[in-house]
Amino acid sequence: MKFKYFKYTFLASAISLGACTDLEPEIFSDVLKDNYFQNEAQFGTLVANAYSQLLGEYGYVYREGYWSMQEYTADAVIVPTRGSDWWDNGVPIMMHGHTWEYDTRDVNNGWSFVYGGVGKCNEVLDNIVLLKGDDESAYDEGTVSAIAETKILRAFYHMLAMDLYGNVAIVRSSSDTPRQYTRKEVFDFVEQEILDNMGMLPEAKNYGRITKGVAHAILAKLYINAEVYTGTARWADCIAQCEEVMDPNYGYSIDSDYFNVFSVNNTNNAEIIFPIVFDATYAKGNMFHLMTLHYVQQEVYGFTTQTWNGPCTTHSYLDKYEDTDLRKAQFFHGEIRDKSGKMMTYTIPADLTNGVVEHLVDAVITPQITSIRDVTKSNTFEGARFVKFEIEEGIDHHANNDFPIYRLADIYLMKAEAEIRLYGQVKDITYVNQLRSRAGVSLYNTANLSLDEMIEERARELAWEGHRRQDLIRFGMFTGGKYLWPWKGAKPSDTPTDNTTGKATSEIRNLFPIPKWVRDANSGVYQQNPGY
Amino acid sequence: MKYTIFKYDSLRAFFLITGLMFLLPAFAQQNINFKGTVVDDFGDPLIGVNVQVEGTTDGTTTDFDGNFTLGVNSNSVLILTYVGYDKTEFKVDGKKSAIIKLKESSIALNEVVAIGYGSQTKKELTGSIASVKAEDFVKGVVANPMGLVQGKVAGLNIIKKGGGDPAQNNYEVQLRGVGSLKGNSEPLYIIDGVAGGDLSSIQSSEIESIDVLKDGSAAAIYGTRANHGVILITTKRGKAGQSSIEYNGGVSTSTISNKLRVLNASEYREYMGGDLGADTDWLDAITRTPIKTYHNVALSGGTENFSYRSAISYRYMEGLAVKSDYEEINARFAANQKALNNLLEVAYDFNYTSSKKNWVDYDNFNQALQLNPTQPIYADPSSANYEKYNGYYESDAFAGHYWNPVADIDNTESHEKYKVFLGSVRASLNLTKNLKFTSFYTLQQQGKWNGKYQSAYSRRVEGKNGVASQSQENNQTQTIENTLQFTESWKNHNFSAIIGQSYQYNEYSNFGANNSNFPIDDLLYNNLGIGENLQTGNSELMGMGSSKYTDKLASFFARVVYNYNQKYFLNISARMEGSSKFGPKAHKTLGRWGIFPAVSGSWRISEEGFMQDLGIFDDLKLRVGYGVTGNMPSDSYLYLMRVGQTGEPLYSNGAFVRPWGATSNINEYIRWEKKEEYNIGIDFAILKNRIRGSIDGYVRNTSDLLWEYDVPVPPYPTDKKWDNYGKLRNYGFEVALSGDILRAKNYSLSMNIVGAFNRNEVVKITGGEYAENNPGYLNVGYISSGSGETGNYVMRLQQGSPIGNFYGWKYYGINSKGQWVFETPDGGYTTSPTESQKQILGNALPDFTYGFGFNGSYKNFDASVNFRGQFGGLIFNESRYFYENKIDGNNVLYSAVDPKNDASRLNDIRRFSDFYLEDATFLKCSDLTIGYNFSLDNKYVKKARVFVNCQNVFTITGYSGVDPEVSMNGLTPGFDSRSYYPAERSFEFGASLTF
Repeated sequence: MKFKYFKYTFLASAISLGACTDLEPEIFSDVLKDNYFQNEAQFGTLVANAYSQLLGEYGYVYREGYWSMQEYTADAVIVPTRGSDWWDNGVPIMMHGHTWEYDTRDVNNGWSFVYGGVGKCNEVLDNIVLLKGDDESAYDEGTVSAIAETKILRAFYHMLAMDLYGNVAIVRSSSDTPRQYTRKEVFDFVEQEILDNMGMLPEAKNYGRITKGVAHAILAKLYINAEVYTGTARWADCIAQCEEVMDPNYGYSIDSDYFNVFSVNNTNNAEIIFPIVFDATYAKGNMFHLMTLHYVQQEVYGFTTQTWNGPCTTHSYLDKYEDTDLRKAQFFHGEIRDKSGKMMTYTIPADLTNGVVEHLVDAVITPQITSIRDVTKSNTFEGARFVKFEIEEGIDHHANNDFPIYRLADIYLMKAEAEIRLYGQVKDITYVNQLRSRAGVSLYNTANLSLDEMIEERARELAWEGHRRQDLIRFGMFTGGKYLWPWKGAKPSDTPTDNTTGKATSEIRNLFPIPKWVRDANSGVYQQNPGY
Repeated sequence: MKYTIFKYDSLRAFFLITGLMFLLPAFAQQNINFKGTVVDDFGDPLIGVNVQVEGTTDGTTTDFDGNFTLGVNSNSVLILTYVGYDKTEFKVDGKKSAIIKLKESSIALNEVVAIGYGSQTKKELTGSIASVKAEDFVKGVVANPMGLVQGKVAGLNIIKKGGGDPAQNNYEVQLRGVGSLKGNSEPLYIIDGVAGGDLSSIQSSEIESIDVLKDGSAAAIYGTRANHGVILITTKRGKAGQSSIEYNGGVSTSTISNKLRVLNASEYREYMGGDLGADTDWLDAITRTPIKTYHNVALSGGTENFSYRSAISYRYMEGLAVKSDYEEINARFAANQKALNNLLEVAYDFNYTSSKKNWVDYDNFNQALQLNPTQPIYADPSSANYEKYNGYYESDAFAGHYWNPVADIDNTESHEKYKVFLGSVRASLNLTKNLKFTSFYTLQQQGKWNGKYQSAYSRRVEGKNGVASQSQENNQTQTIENTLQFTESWKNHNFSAIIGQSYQYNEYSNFGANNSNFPIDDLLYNNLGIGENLQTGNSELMGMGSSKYTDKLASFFARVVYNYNQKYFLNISARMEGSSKFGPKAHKTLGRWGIFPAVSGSWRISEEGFMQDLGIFDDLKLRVGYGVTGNMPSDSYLYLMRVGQTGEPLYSNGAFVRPWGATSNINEYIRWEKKEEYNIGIDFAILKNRIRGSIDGYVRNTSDLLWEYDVPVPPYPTDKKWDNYGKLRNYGFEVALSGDILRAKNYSLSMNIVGAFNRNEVVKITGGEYAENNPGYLNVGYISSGSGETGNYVMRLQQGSPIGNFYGWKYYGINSKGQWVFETPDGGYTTSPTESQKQILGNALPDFTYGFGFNGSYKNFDASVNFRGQFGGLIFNESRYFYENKIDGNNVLYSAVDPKNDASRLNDIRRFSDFYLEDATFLKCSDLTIGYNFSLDNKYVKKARVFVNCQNVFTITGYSGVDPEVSMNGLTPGFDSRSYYPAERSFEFGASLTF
């Protein structure tokens, strides 16, 4: 009797045991790599990865990364600390004043940005091989051009890295161990990659992607700075590349309205060569309106989120524009009025220790910045604000305006500059004069368009587009005492109202230090740049 | 001739007579209806005593008067057993009635303790297990059953989350120090055998006892979920022969137990300048006097073959914050049934809880601290924004950080509904006297729904014209368990063994949707589709999402328990467990499976001759144990290559193309965190068991700690990877003492004390392939330097150091210019410190934690009081860091202007230093209860008691913040946040009746 029960129990246990050792995972809402990349549409999403590094809040226009390294560091952008807003541990002041260190936030982020981009390109190339097989000769045209596009984009990221940090790594594949190359070696790599792959790119313009025209523009930018990068000037090559871009077959042309290039619906604008295509819904990252506008302006434009009242421009930069220059309107100053025309107001809080009582002020933006750090917030309205990108009402954090990395106006200016440097004067002044007449100012002639004037015109035309630092370095004005701007040379610990004219900074600042985290993670690989 | 016959006849007669004599008793063995009364030492009747006729299955239990009636024979022997009393034999000896006195046994030793898949008496325990019975629980209303044992178990630190928020009914529960860095850190709750049971499914008043398996050797039988201890909750069950109806109810109110002193309107005018004309006490404006009430009714009863207990309870608790409340209804049914002549026993348990919550955003309390007290709550009807903000006054400061909290609470509806069903069926077959087969099936279903609406008038979502969202989460767990138990004793050897198998399937899914821009406010979140922003497709303004995942847990376990003469005990167990969360290479040979062995033994020294001669110890036992347990990763699929959207879309050929790529790095070796623990303990009892205690010492080494490492991209597809790499070490000792100080017929007083010391060390967090990208330290504890400003890390987690080290500048003073002066590590001073001048400032974790309580009675009165506290530890007073500095122009603490305080001279930006770290030593009186038991003498009401109770009576501490009891778990212990729901002091009046 006892035994019989025993037997049944064991049988029951054995049956349940069998089923009860199953530990296979069940997937419901996650997508596994094995289930994806099965068709052409999904393949297309792979290549998109190479470009995605440029987009997003932390991409090319990141105010705490690449863009800050190229624009905070000169006179076009200044970020005063207003009360305790935008103090950020002194980083914006360090960037503007050339007192950054090897572990400063923006310096760190810049490296992650460029090499993150390189990594994404390499991953795309690896995945293309995985999906399409090893036999390169069997690739179809779409795959071949996708590979070329990715390689040129990878070269572009390397160019940015070399521009910022000098002697950096060349990473040709995911399995490369990092090695430091000289700036010249990186330059040569970038040049060679673009030349080798250009032939496989589509001729026709495809707004948003790298086509032949875009590749020529990148080369033009590479060559104009060749003397800075390698010591050897390449003005003639730059001119040649610019002329390629200007070939009417590519279809680039100067827009008759300066501000149209930066309008809300500037997608497919004929003047833009290499855009970052932003969209408030689909492709986020353009947050200029939040960065620069004052708090009270949220209501004026009906934004669904509060603005940040941060970066603005120096009065010395604003003064570069004649009063008749239409481009001066890209910096807003003056009274802030609401939709009905009523003056807006703002409450400055009290700070008795510093002699400030709470009071209401009219909302008036003034170009003159009195203090780079005002704990009382009295400087809340100081500094002209950046409104080059058309401001769209009712948006949230992200705007729709595309950001032009390279546009035709830049090509015209580079060609003219290279010609002056090579021949002493511009060959055909009508191109630059298109920009002048569009801006409503007097035209140049070969006599008054000198190098000194060139740098000023570039400042006026390309403000806040990420070229300022490169241009100033090329003209020898970035560091040293030849060219000063308010708070050049400032340290976060300085008395805030000192140094309103700026002072000379050391030549070492023409290069950023290799970030400490990079050198620590790859011990012995990177020699630090001089002076750091 | 006559002789011979007589001889034969005598012999026959002898046999006849002897036979008759034997028969006589048979005649005399008629059934007597024996009436007995069982009493204790004091002559008081004992209820529910088990009376068994020896050698038969006849038996009964005593009633409320201690009486019983049993059909016996005149030479029957009755065996009386009762928990807490010596087993007594009583010879009927022809009597028809008698009063039988039972002697109280060494209560503690025979107390039954649940040990996981079974129970043992305290005498038999070999591991470190603490047991708390209902009479020792913390008194008063608690958020969930863990509140009942706060300060009652040495080494178990329990801290209420969310302060006085009734909607937040969770506690942070930590056993023997921090056990994991990034993995799960909750202990495993077992409710009546259901592993992973939800604490909200049961009522505190239904709990019989809570047993805590503290060390590895006791918890190892639960395998990969047992690293942080196993807490076994046993609920009350019906008893045969005792029908009763119990009612418990109470009503309470509470006040804020402690407030921070901020400037009031006139002080603000004087010290800060600026005047918006009003006089507002912001904290007062958002709080109220809450009322709470609860009622529960329990019915129990039954016969030998069927006994049940069922209970229904209702709870409604208002919180201190306006609108914050919690309402709950719970029902329970538990039954035990015997059939097939005691061959089959079936037990069922069904529990169901349904609750509703009203949440209030804790950030509103931060606003109450920092807002200008001269700012009015309501705007002037003639002012520009009167309509816009629906009559509330809103300043024009940055809306992400400043808003009117009264308006926000009014403008926000944040509701939650939670339902949990826990049901189980257990069937046991008593195959033989020694062998029992049990099959156990459980189902737990949890469902949570949240709805939130912020109206168009809310400054926080200004411009969005109303934001609504709804979301739902469902979690279902099913377990099936089969065990076979064997017990046998021969001579002085007692042996029992259990082998078992268990399989658990867990399914989790969620869904949510949100929208904004609503034409009218009244619909709240009920009509999501009507929001205009659905058309935009902009994920900042609308959206939806869902996900689902499952996991499976399979195990086989076995345990052997052996003792020799109740003097030497040995306990060996092993569990082999696998989970679908572990990678296919988790174990070298077993793949997804791991083995968790344990061995422990104890020696009752007090039973040895030499000890008994000494005569000091009534009980002295030495315990030694070793066990291995595990801790699960939270993500179910860490070993699979998953892809997803990896960035912003690319514009190509006129359309946007989203990039797809790898979203996680795979790790096929991903496995459980492993803890090996050594425990040694001594249990003792002296003075006739009047004083009992235990001392335990332990060392726990946790290895294979889960951590998310930074990895280089390339070669990895993405930059983070989970791996088991680190090591953590905890060691310490615990002391527990309980004593019957007084014990007499009319009065009694007992006391219990627990204390624990724990130290931890992060032995390793990085190395090998991770060393390059992950230095041997990690900055944790991020805190902004102002409203949304980029901030700093204030703690450093370092290899070789304990968790909880504060890291920052060392405060020296404030100079005449109002600047901070810090001491540099090389002995100098600076007013503009750099990152490299930071140093370790101290550790947040306490040196020693303790708890003690008294339970007493005098005639009809009873009283109890409980305390808990700690020595040492540091707290980062976040409120002082932000509001003891006038830099923002907001309201500040009084200490920012008090001339006696250094901070009043401050004219510098916010910097973190040990100026804001305060000693955390405290003594808190957690609850005080006084009750009165009515002496009753009627047929209807058996027991009646009324009581008053005060919770959070007082706290003695040097800490200047609101409450020194702050979180001690995770990577950042010791933070006293500025956004806190105030802690409350509550006063309750209640009654309980038994019919």
